Amino acid sequence: MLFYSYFKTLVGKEVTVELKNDLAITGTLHSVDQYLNIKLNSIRVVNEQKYPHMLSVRNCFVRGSVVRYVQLPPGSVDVELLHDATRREARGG
Amino acid sequence: MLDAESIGLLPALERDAQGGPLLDEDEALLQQFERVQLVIGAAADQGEGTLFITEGRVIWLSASQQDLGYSCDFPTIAMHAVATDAESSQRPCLYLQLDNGCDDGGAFGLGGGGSASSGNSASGSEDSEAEADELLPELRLIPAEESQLEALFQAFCEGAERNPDTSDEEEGEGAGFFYNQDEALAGAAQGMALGGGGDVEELLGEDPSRFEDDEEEEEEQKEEEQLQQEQAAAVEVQQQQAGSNASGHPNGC
Repeated sequence: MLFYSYFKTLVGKEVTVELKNDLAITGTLHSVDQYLNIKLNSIRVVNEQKYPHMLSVRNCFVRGSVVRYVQLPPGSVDVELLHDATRREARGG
Repeated sequence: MLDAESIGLLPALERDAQGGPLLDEDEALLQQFERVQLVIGAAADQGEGTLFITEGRVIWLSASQQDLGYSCDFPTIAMHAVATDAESSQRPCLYLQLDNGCDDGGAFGLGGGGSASSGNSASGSEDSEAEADELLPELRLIPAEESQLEALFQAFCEGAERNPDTSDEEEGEGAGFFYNQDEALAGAAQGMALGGGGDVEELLGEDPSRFEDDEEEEEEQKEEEQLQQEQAAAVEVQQQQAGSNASGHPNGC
């Protein structure tokens, strides 16, 4: 549940979600669930030329299993905290 | 005929007696949206139809053509969104992208899925309806009533949540990943202990001369050594001769 808990702390922040099919979407993190399904608001597509039909998309829901990366705003990441949390998670299971 | 299968859409050709979708034994119909237009890819308009939401998948059946329909399971839907463009003439719709999991070098599963392998090659492709060379795995569901959009969006959210991936690969979140350097090194040390220094002795135990040089090589080596010795001796002799000749001129000239 580590990443679910972690992403919940980023609700309201701007993130870029990169899907396994190479689509990249930047938006405000609206919500995340235990499967890491992600809802983004006020989105803009990084490679918008390829997907002209997405120009008018404002809010979207991304299936957790198709996410490759979630790019985080640098200022919002407490690396030490995350480091400790993952270490604890690895030990505790 | 549109090569919809290449992007993860299965044809739904049969209907039940009431004109609804043919469901599996345990499959329950949860919701139904009337008068929804389906557009596949860039502009392959399928016309108006009815959208059926079941526990595990979505089925769209054409209102006018009895043998036209498609179904798609929720795990294939990579993302969905409400698209409301007030500026362009595009009607408000639910935009979806599919990902059927196969990757054939391209970004989407073009040409790689199942028997429909013609999607990616120009020679095999027969979709004259598609404007682009590739059929991008995009769908648009355009309801006749804009007010249905929110409910549609929600239905797809819930469908995705109902159908998470159940992969056997991972025992848990991030299983198999090292979380920090210490763990990674600990793992490596463990590997060393199991198959490290003790091994050589074990291997030698059976055959002490196992790692000795070949006999042929030994002979060659001996010959070389001999040659070197002779050369060294020859050099020594020269030096002695040179030394005796140049006895009067220690610094040489």
